[in-house]
Order: sequence, then structure tokens, then C-alpha cells
Amino acid sequence: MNLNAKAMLRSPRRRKDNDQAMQQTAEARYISAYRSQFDRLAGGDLPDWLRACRGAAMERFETLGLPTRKLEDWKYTNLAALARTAFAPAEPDTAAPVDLDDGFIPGLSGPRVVFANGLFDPKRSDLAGLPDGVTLLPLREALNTRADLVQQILDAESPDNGLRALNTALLADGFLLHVAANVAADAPITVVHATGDGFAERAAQLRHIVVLDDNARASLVEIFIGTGTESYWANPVRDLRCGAGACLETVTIIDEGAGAVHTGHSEVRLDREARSDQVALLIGGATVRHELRVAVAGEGAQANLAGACLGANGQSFTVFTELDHQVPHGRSNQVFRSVLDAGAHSAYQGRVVVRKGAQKTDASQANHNLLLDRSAEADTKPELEIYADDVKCAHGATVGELDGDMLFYLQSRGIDPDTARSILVEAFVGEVVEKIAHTHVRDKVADMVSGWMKRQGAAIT
Amino acid sequence: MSQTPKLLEIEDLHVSVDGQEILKGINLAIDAGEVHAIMGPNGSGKSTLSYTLSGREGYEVTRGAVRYLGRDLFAMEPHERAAAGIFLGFQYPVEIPGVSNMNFLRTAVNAIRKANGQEEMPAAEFLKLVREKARALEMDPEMLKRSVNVGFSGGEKKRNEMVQMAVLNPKLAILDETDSGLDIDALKEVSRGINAMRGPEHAILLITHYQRLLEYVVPDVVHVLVRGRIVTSGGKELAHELEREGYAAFTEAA
Repeated sequence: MNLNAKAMLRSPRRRKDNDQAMQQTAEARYISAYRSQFDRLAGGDLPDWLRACRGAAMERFETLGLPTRKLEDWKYTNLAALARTAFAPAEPDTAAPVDLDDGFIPGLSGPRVVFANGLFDPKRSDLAGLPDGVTLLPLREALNTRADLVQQILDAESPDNGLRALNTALLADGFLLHVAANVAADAPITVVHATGDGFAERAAQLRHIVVLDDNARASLVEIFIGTGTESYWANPVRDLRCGAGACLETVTIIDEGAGAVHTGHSEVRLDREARSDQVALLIGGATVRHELRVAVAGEGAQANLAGACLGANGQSFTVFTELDHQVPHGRSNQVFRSVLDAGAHSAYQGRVVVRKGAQKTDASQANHNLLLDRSAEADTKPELEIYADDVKCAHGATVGELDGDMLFYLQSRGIDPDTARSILVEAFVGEVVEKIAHTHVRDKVADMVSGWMKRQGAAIT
Repeated sequence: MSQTPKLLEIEDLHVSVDGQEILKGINLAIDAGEVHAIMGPNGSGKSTLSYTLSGREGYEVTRGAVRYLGRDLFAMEPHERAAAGIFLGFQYPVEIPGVSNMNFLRTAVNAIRKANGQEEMPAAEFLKLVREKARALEMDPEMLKRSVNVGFSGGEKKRNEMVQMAVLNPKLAILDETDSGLDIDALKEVSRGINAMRGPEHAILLITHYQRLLEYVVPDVVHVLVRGRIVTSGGKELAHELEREGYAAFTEAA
């Protein structure tokens, strides 16, 4: 479907509603945790700017509170678990050893940054072997040595997101990646977030900052794995800045533990002719939200976002995207797909904003959902807000079941029904997987998809 | 008298779709090495017969029996029927985005081998086999890499069915209007594919509306299916008679 529109399509956005006593209690607990821990947090001993920045963030959190489903942007994400339990900040004594075997990509060497139970793990990280012009630092160190970059990002806080504000107020750790102009860091950097036992009712508030100067290139593979069933909260925030002509590839694998709440939030800014390709797999965790806000701030910049959700019983996934086309000749492409088995839920909320003057914008979004069981639920909500009159905005959304004709065709060739279903599901998700440029990473994700299908098949029989 | 069971024996087969009886007592026996053609007007039950034999859902057998190599066909799942050597050539081959022809065929070949207690076919051997069969049917090797039937023309889809049949090497091929939608050149190529399957080990059941396919694939027996019943059977000359007289005479007889 193509829409060449002068009119604007808007959906109502409601301000937050503060009438929930339980929520206020939870927020008060987060606030008191912050006050009691302030001096122990990263940067607690650091210059005034950081102190001020965190204090301001906490004030914003006090005003904004935890998001509720009454907010349009949070309509499909149930954060009741965050209001029920005040997840305490990660502390060094909670960082029990975590099994990392599944956290790495077979065949992928190169630098790695490891966070275990919410904190940087220097022993298992390897920040060496980077080309000249590439800086990769734990955030605590960057706060000292690259305060210029970090301050600039943290001060440019977007005002309307409570979880992001809480992350800034409580940020414990993270990393800074800076690639100087014209430097290509093509070998993917692996970032592992591993959570194991002993992290129950704790929160990981990690902050990652990636700054690519003009014409720089970088590739990141982020993996979130949780090995236990305990309840914990991962609230990672990423700020990604791509200078003119810069190129950033990210693959994000969210395979959190069965009891986890994950509310990942990324803000991406693309300058002239910059390009960002971001692929995500949402597969593990109880409640998982993958939020990407992309500012197409320079002419000719392009963002390609893709993702797959594989949900089984009780899991709820939200993909939230906002593409803000601020200038002419920007391009964005979104492909998100969900496969949901019995009792699983997913939502896609994708907003494309084309501002006045952002002529010749070419934005497309496609969301397709495959329900393997009648008890699964998919919500899909592409939104367009168009204030320019010479643009191409396409969007499409479907929700359906496996195709009976395809299944029969495969079976008529000798393929048993379980295998036939797997083939069709893998092909469906394959439209996303094939967007991963790096072979080893693509293979890993494809393996995770087929492994998931095998587990679902075993659960059915 | 030989005790060897017939390849396929259909006895008094009644089939309903959505509660409506479509097949009203089919009797048919096919031996290995034979080519039978079933001809009939639209709505006579031709496709119902092919889908019932291959095990598609939604076709309810209300009476009668079908034995395949002496086994109760209806006790077998569709993929088990394929593993036992039954192939259905689809009137409308299905498009499967994201699944390459090559992977699809390899999965099928190995599933059938596994069901028959054989080892997987080595990759190199498989590749050679598929390329050879594709070449014999003049199929562009590039099409093997593409998603199954996606973006194929009508003729290419039918040719793809023939390549699959050649690779899977069935004992009984049921070809449901394989000739529909083909121009004369494609019809000749597809016919060549069918004729290549002929032999003492293979039986073919051609289901067709028109006589023209039978110019190229000459059947041993022709059956006329009208309103769910076989109203007459004969040699290949019966097809010519139908071409001349049309189905009207038989329709009245039914």
C-alpha cells in the first residue's frame, strides 16, 4: 500500500496518568534506591556535570514515572512487574559468575565487551586488537577520559521517557565506542550481557554510547542472555550517532532468562548520507521491549530496521520504532516479523514521522505475524504522520496462520508435518535473518530459530 | 494366479467435500508399468480423486477402500504415501517464498530415504542428480536456487513438478491436469518428462480435461469420469472419440 499524503495521520498520545497508588509506591522505591546508592554509582565521585545530569534525570523520572499502558506508546507493553517489584541496582557483590558459553558467536573473533549481572566484567572482556582511530572503553573509564563525548550525549536527553531517565540516573556501567573519521572497524565487536543466578530482583541499567565520526564504519553484535528463571530487569539504553557518510551495523539478540523484563531503548541519529542497519531477534525473556528511535537528521541518510520475535507460552514482545524524517531524501525500511506459539503475544508499533520539508522521503514498513496457535495474539500498529507532500510511504501488516496449501505441498513430497512447519517458519523468519550481513552471526541467529522450532515441535507432541 | 497385489486398487470409493458427495463409487485398478488417463468435464471429481489419493485434508471418504501395494492407503499420512512412492503433480503448484527449490528437494529426497531405512544422499550425488534431471527437462539451473515456484510462469511451475517427479522417482505418479495452462512447446517438454518415467516399475495416472496431452503421452487405458463415476473405460481411441463427440453423450449416460 502506498500513501502519498498531504494529510497527516495522527494518533492520540495521552499524557501519563498518576492515579495508580501501587505504581507510585514502586517509583518511590526506585527513587529511594537512587538516593541511597548515589555515591556508589558510576561517576558518583565525578565532576559536577555528571552529578547534575543524574540529578536532573532523577527529577525527570519523578515527574514521568514508570510508563503505563495508558500511554499510547506503551499500550501493548505490560510493565506491571516493574511496579510490583522495585528492582535494585546491580552491585559488585551480585555479580556471581555467569556461564557465557552461549553468549558468543561461534567463529566470531575480535574484540568483546562483557557485562555480567549488570556490571562490566573486565576479566572476560577483550578490548584489544582494534584498529587505530577506534576507541572502545568501559563507560566508567570513558567518564574520565572521554567526558567530552559522554557529556554531550547524556545532556541531550530526550525529555519524555521515564525509563531512559531512570537509566541515566542509575547508570552503572556500559561502554563507549568511538570511531574516528574515515576509519573502518569492520570486524564485529561482540557485546555480551549475561545474567545468571543471584541477580533476582536486580536491574541492569547499562548505557552504551557509539559515536561514528564522518565516514567511519562499525559493526556491533549485542547479545543478551539469561541462564536462570529468576526475575530481573534489563534496561539498556544505547545512543548511536552516525556522522556524515558513516555506516553502522548492529545485530541484537535478546535471549533473556525466562523471568526477565527487558526494556531496551535506542536513540539513533543519522547525519548526511549516513546509514544504519539494525537487526534484532527477540526470543528469550518474559516481557521484552525493543525500542528504536531514529532521527534521519541529514539528507540522504538511510535506516534499515529489521527484527523477528519468536514467542512461546506467556512471553510478550513489543517492537516499538519511531522514524523521524527531519530532512529531505531520507530513506527508511522496516521489516518486522513475529512467530507466536500458544499463549504468546507480540506487538509492533511503528511510527514514521515525515516533517514539513522532508520531501522525497522514502519510508516503508512491513510487519507480518504468524500465529501457530489460536491462543497467540499479535497486535500491529503502523502509524504515519506526514507533513510533507512529496513523499513515498508504504506500509503493510498481516496476521495469519501457516498456509495449509504450503504444508500439504511439502507433505506430498515426503516431508513430515513437524519438519514442514519448521521449514515454513524458518522461511518466514528468513526474510529477517538474511538481512544480517556477517555470516557467523547470521548462522547463529538461523540456528537459534531452528532450535526454537524444534523446542516448539517437542512441546506440541 | 499371481498373489502379487496390484499397485493401486480403488474399490467403490465415495468421497464427500463439505458434506457434498463428489465421488460416487469409483472402481479402478492400476498395475505397475501402466499409464491410465482419467478424462472428464469440469466438476466431475477429477481433482477430488487426486487429492483423496494423496491425502489432502477436507476430503472425507464415506465408503469404499483404496489399497496401495496391498496396504490400506487411508491409514497412511500424506508424507508416508510419498515415502511409499506416490507422487502428486499439482494442477496449481504452490509457491513457497523463502524456501529454495534445491533445499526443498534435498529435504524431500532425504525424508523419503530415511522413511525407507536408507542413508541420506551425499550432497555431491544429490547435486548431480538434480542438475541432470533439470537439464533433461531444460530447466534453467538458476531456477533451482530460487524459492519454490515463486515468480515462475505457469509452464515453469509444471516443469518444476516434472523435475521433482524425476528426482523423487515415484512408483505411482498422479498428474492432476499437468497439461493445463501450457503452450504447445511446454506441453511437449512436460510430456517428455512424463514419458521418461514410463517403465515396468512405474505407473502413471493422468488426469486431464483435454485429449491433447494424450497425443504425446499415449495411455494404455482411458477412463471417462462423469459426475463422480467412471462411466466408461477403453483404449487410447476412447480419447479420440471424446475429442470428436465431446462429453455430452457421456454426461447424458451418467
